[in-house]
Amino acid sequence: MSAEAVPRALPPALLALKAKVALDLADFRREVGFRLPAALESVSASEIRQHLGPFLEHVFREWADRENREVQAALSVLAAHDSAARESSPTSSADVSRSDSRRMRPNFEVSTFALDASVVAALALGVGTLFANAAVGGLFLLAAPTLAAFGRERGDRALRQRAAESAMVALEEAVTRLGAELERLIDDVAR
Amino acid sequence: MLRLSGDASLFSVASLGEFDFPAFIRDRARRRPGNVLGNDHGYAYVSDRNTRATFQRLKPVELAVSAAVRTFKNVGKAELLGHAVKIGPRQFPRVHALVERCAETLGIPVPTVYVVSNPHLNAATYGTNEDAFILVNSALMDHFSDAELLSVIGHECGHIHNNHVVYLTAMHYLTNVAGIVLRNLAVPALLSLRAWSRRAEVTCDRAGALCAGDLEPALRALTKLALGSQKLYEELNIDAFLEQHSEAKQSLGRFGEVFSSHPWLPKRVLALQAFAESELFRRHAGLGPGGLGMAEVDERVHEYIKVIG
Repeated sequence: MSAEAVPRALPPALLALKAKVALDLADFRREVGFRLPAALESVSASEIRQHLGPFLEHVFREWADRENREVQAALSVLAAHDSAARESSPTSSADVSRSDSRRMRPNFEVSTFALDASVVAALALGVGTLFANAAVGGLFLLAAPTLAAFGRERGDRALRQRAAESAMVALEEAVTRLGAELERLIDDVAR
Repeated sequence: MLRLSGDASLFSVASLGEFDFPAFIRDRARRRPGNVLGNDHGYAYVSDRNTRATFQRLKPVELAVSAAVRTFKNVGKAELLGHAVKIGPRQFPRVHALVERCAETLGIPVPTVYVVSNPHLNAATYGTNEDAFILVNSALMDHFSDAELLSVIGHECGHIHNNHVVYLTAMHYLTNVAGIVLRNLAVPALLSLRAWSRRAEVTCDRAGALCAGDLEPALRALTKLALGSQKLYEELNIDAFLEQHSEAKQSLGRFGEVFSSHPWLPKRVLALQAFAESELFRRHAGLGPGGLGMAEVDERVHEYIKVIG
């Protein structure tokens, strides 16, 4: 093992900074988790499909940029007389957040196959029996859109739930990567 | 080692800030390249828009048709995955970037696109309004430049943007499946759907031109469809091609177009040229201010497109 690779104990101030970053990341996760369900309720299912990924990227990037700037500012203050501290970060504020946020594309496909197949069955039965018995055929044909409306509502509800879950998973991954980046930034300063 | 003269408590915690999803969506719509003149669907052909408004009043029917389409799509999708090539960031990234650009221009989710081995110059969109997929025949990839592909993919994305997909898919199944079982019973429904489809194609040709950001590649793509030959295209005289429209107008056979899902090609070229004179397109393509209002453009297009009268 080379001399440079030997891990060096971090000064208490940097350890405290690391702890604060970890706390802040946990706060971010918790706050998004708290506010996301209401945000998902305020838009339509198709808007969730279309905009949730970019919205999460936007929220995460904005926050990560601010967080990164705060860390860099704190490091500058901590190393007030060491100009190297200000130049120690090889990664810019934008790089840290952007490299992570581009990957936030939650997958929230919901299968409605069973209900959809029931609608098809009702339609087929309706058309099939319409000429033999108009009343029964008509009832089946009326049942199809009713079933479809019910399926749509259920599908939308499932989608919101799935979206919230997968958004948190995507966020968790991005936050973990950002945490590692920020830790590396702090460790670099100590070297 | 770094000399530490400060205190970590100087580090203030970054707040979460704005978390307004609806405001984000509105802002995104406002900034989108395709959203010129402040209207998201401002480019749509008025006849198509009105027919769709009628369709949308039949919401229960649309829901039932969507459910049926989703069921068949589930079956068809597996077949596609087995026979076609799905485009993505790791598969034909150049073409995927074109798809992303079109989706961004029109403000729709990036659709799934498959390349299907087929020698005919064609592309189609199926699925439901929420979950659509585009099929692009391999011949298009061979014959069309990137700018022309933008116009073709943009055209298909236009179907998604304007909620055409479920009706197009219904028309496809009615033609190929239900039409065989129901025979003549399906004819009135098919004729109405095809009449609407011809108007919808005008809207989507406009979407293609908007995505390409230029009239030329959109026109080239249309005329290449008529020719099917890269070699002859260089020699094609557009004016003479458009004169075919006047000639066809005199013929009794012109009424055969009522059975067609697309307007005849010279009509589409004329309709697109009229759209290129609109203020909306000129602004989008960076050609400066001025140009016709959409009502005036649609009036002209109506004269080109109509089959009877």
